[in-house]
Amino acid sequence: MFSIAARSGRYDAAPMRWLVRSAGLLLAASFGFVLTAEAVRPHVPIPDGDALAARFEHLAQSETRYDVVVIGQSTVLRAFDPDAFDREAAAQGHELRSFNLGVPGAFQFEIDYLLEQLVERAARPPRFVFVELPTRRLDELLPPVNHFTDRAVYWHAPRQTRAWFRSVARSSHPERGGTRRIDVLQHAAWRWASVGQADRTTGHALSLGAAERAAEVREVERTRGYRPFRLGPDTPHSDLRDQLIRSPRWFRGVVARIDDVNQGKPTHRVLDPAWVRLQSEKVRAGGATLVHFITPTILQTAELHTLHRAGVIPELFAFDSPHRFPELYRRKNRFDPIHLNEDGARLFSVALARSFASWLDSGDG
Amino acid sequence: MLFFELRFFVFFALVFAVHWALRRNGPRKLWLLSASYFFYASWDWRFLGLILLSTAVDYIAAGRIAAETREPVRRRWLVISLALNLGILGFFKYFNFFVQSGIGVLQALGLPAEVRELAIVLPVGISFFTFQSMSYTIDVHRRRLEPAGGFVDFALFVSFFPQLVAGPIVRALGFLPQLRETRAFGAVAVRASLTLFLVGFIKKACIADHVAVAADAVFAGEAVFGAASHWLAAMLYSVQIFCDFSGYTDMALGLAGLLGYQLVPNFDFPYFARSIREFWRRWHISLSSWFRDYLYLPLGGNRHGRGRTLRNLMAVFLLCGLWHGASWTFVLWGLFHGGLMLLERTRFEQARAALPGAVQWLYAYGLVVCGWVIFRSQDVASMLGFFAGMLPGGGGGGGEALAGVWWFVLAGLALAHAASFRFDLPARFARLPHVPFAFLYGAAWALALQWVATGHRPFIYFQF
Repeated sequence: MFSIAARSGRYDAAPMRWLVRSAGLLLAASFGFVLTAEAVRPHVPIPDGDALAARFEHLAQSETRYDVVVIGQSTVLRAFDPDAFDREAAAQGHELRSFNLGVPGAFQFEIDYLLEQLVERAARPPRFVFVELPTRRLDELLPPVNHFTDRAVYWHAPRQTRAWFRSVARSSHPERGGTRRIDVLQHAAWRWASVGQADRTTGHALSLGAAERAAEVREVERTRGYRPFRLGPDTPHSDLRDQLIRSPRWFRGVVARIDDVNQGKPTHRVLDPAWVRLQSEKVRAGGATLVHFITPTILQTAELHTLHRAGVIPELFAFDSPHRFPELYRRKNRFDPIHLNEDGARLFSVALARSFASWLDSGDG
Repeated sequence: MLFFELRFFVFFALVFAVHWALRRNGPRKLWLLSASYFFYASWDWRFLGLILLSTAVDYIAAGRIAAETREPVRRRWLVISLALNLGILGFFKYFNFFVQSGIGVLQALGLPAEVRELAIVLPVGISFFTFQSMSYTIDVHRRRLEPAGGFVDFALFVSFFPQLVAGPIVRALGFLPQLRETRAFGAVAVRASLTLFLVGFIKKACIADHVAVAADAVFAGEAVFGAASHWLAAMLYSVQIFCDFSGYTDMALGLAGLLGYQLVPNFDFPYFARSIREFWRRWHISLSSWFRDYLYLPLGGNRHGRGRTLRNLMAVFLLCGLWHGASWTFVLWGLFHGGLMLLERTRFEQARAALPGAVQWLYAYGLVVCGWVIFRSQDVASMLGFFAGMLPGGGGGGGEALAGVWWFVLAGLALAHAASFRFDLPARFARLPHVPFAFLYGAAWALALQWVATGHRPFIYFQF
């Protein structure tokens, strides 16, 4: 039985010598920690959730060059239908091939990481990268449900982690103070050290589940990353969906205010202009062109329009106006207040293709 | 505030730094006491009053007992102390259980009974600190212990944060003398303490929380599993509860060690026991020795014939089961072990002792695992269902199966445990020279963190 026995005698080293010695040992321990964490980190695979690993594997293997890759949150994953987009683009005279790289609940730091990975990993980088502009707060914390999950880990490259922590540390939001900052620091540290990823890293190194992954890659090849919400007997009834079904008046009220709210003054920050410039440089270095867009959201986007008018966001396709896109805000085309259903996705993809085609025709692209 | 949260590391770093920066013992103890109360308040500040009440009453009671020569008065104060502690424990932990059980009995007799349950929140660590506090007044009453030198000493003994919420149950006899000495940092076994903390972390976060996933899948009873999966899940639960609880203890010992205090070890490779008696000498040692010293021996132990021994043993194990929680499964678990202890006091013991060592081990471990099934089950019906599933042809002879990889995990953990027993690996690690130790310690943390199970759970024994 291993236990602690107090040592006899007293340690009488001079305080300075003791301090130097302790600092040296702490340094040695930190060195061991960092070296090991950094040695393991490159072997941590991208998460399997929502077929993200399969989607990247497909992009890395694919001989065909995708013209357009669309990155964003679940509002992209569930709403960008590559088939509908390509058909409409072809009808407008542009033969394009598109791919959906949406990740549910993605923070802008995650989106930034996806962008980096796309440029690095894709066998043939796309011609255009569409990035959904965020509607989540810049200083938003990961919800507890995402703690210790693989999808919350992978994007914590040092740069993204630093930027996220900075945004929370500077935040004036009442919930971001005090211990929540420690939470963020813990979260970032845990993630930086790839906490809890050994199962997946080992499985990946041993090629466990290779057959299932290959099947998933084939499925991705077929769907081109699109994963719609389908209405049917097995449709999950989330709280959000219940809200849409049970409170049509509430939804109509929200929709009626969107245009006015978005023309007004922004109430909170969601975007760091420096990030937009960095994203643009990264995409350009990869030989592609960056295009931003806003999905038909019900959340406030006033700041994004302000930045667009100021020229910080040069190219912007915005679909967040019920006045201009009434079909996208009809209840029958939505799965819940936030997401479009399959019909809505088709309409949105067609609208996006039209905007893009006319942009290309105008000579800006 | 769990031991493996960053906020705890920040908290402990501060406590550690200030503790050793203070040169005099008095301020150090006051600092540790404040830190302990802060730690407890971080769970739920409302229960600070409870621990303060228990501490104050026991401190006063022990003082009066020591100062008094008249036995009836001494006894009166002891009764006051015991009544308060058991009253607090009884109300917070058992009130609803007894009310529900009473209603069940009345309804079974056909009598109308309906009482609304109280929404009682169980204060974390209540079973530990009340037992600790009671042992103090009893020892003072027995004249085995001088009362604490001051209120701060006693309050720190009751609330010392490394072991406050899940033990080990410290005796005043062992702890109060440590508080009287001014500790020197140079005498602290830093490497051993750090190693213990890391070992505890690995046991809890990397092993217990991982195997819990498989064990929970079968214990949930939502799918039909075969007999092999039932046995596998029961054995995995035995791993889970051992690593969870002994992991907490190791971390507590390590933290206390870093502050210069020694706590009693609580586990001594219990699954290597070859009998149930031996198991209880190795499992949750601080609790089993508490029951031995403060219940079993005062009741007469085994000194008054077989009948009294039987009664005493069953009383001890019944209460030991109830100590773990207010549920009939815990009562049954206690009686199960009590029954086995009795069995080992019959002629059966000679037969058992004559068996080869491996068979003795199989006997003890098999029964302990069956005991854990009772312990883990939500209620008696699901316990019976689980046992039925363990029988040959259980789960209808087919059903689902836990992934085969869990058998390898179990075998790997058993080998690692045996290697640790045989070669005393943590002690060897702690004896490495300082620089290699520091480097490897950092590296070991980086690797351990990779193996942390996602969706971490609180320690099982926090609920007790």
